[in-house]
Amino acid sequence: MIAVLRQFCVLGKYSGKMPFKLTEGAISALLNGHEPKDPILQCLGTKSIAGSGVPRMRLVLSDGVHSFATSMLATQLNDFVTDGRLQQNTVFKLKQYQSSVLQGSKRIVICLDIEILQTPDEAGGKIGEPVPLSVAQNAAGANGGLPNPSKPGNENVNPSGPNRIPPAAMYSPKPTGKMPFGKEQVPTTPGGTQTRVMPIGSLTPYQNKWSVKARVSQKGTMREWKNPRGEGKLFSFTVLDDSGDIRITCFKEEADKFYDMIEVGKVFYISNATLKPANAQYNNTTHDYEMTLRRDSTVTLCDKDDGKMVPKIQYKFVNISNLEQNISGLVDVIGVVKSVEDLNSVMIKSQNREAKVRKFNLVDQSGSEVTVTLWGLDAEKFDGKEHPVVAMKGAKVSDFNTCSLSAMGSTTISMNPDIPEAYQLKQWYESGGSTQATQSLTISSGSGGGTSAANWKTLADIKNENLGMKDKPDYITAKVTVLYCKKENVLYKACPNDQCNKKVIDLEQGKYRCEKCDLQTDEFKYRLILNMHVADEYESTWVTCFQEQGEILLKMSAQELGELQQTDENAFDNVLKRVDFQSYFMKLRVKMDRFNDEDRTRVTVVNVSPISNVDYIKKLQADIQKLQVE
Amino acid sequence: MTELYDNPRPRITASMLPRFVGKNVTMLGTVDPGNISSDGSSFKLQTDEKTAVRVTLNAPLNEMLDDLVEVTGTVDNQCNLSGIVYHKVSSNVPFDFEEYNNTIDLMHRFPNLCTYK
Repeated sequence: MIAVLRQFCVLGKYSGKMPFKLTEGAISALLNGHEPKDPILQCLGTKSIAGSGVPRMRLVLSDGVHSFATSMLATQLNDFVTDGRLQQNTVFKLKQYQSSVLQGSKRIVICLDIEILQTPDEAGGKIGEPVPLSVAQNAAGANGGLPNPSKPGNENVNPSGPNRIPPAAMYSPKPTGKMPFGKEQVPTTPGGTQTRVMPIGSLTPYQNKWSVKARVSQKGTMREWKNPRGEGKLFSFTVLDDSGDIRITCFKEEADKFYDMIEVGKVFYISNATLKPANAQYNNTTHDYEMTLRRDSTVTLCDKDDGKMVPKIQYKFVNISNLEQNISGLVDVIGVVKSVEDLNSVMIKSQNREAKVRKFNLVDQSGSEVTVTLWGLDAEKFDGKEHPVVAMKGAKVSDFNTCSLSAMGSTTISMNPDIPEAYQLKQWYESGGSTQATQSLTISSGSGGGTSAANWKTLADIKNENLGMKDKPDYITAKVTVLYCKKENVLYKACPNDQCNKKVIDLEQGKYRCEKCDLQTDEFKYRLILNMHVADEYESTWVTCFQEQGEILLKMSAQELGELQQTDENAFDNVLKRVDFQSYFMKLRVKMDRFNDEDRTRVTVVNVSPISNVDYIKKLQADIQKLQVE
Repeated sequence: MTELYDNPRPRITASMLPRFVGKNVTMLGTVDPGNISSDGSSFKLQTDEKTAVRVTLNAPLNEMLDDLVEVTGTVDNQCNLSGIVYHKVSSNVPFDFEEYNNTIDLMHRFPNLCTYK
């Protein structure tokens, strides 16, 4: 009360110049998402926030009733603060501004254009007794449509002026899901208690409160990543409504939280997610943006009747015969499983892990056949018995083996889907399609002469054809016999870190140091480098063979071999002798290297496989066939 | 018996049988136990998916035949084999008859490279 009295005194002192009336109620309106025109406000303080670039000015604003601390000055107006025009107690007119909601429903007002009306002296200090308006009070204000009644007296200090917002204007129609939506209607939801259902197609990062009602059309498997910056897991899924589809990704905690909940075919309400530009490399939706779920994102299952109107998965099927026109693109295909291979596992070298893989052949009415590769869980659970119809959404077309399909994490695979195309195909297959000769787009390296993928050469060709002289290394496949495997420097001690294979420095006393990881440990792992003299019918050469291939050749892990070297020299020698005079198919990398000013052709073993007689006979027959033609 | 080993006994495919009437040949095929005559004196040798050759033995079988069998014998006028010697071949990998037959074809096409001495 004393303050109020003092205020009157201050006002009296400046009776010669009437103070501008602050636009009472403007702060409350701003915080509720309304946009009062040209409100007159007082600045209660400025604070410079140092950032990476230009400093930003934070303002505390007051309308005489409420004050509000999360307001920023547009950087082009920084001069107002630096030259003293805008300081504590300056009264100004906010001519242009932008109001938006940050994460956690905190509202921020950015002042874009202001007009100074009174200096602090002219204003005569702080006007009124503004109360900071918190989020909770803000929400209460929104519900009541009036300033919080727990603050009596405010109205008395500053009588209603012409700029006062009539309370009625604070009401906005309560949004409902059924409300027609147009792009010009910016959603202005009071209080953040309820949000409007928006069409997916119109989502942009510039909207504040929204929710979508959408059907999950695809769900990827949980994947883990690991890189020098950290590790974690993620999964993605795609949802659609009648306006389009969008990809959604969840990381770490959110991935765990939502993974089991998200099911293909179900309809969910989703809100409070972050939108960012779509990364076309991983995104096969048509949407310009993609979504990331946050800690405060909500995903609610929509009950059956409510979700009935949301469309089902939309396919744009491409005939198998037309796949070659879509190489390295993503397509939707449907076909009948003609044959399935057994589950296999392969090593993914770049990630140093084993992956399950399964291939099957898909045919359709176009009379074409293509090999599809499935990975991981998809491969494990795929059941291709009894020639099911398989529809794939977003399968990757690759030029591997001329033309083949691969299911990626984002690909949806539906077995015998309930769509007309599937029934047509089933009927076609059962009424003769199964016996129809099909043209396979995929020309596998393992059969059919093997000349297309495997670049069969003899060791003499390395010299005769000047292999490895170009910028890029040459890769050849040869049938070779090992003549001798060097016994010296077969193993080295490497950094025990999973991703690091760098040789460690022996610090004596059982300590080892890795320069790359900057790590000192008392353990290490053994790594293999085999130097072998190999020969075929025409020529011989020295080749280098690293870890994985070496382990295949020796039929022993590097670790076991390392232990053997320490304990039983004889047995160790015998293991290395095992390889001598054995024959293999070897894929070799041939590259000219400059070492100590001397050019040397380095030959590295990329892959080793046992001789497959059938494949080798096929290759030889194809060679003879070619000779006959010539 | 010894006579058989004195003369060439080329490895042939079923399609070559007419050219080898009266001669000794060697053939490889599979035997289905159901295709062995009840007295065990003859059986059908399946040399590829479509073709089977009847093999008559000098003496009835005294063991069960199943899977891969190699027979050396004389080709008669009906292109049947009068088997003299057979032995079972065991293989733990699937035998590729198509490639086997193609290879024999090639051997016969280039007799100068693949002679029987």
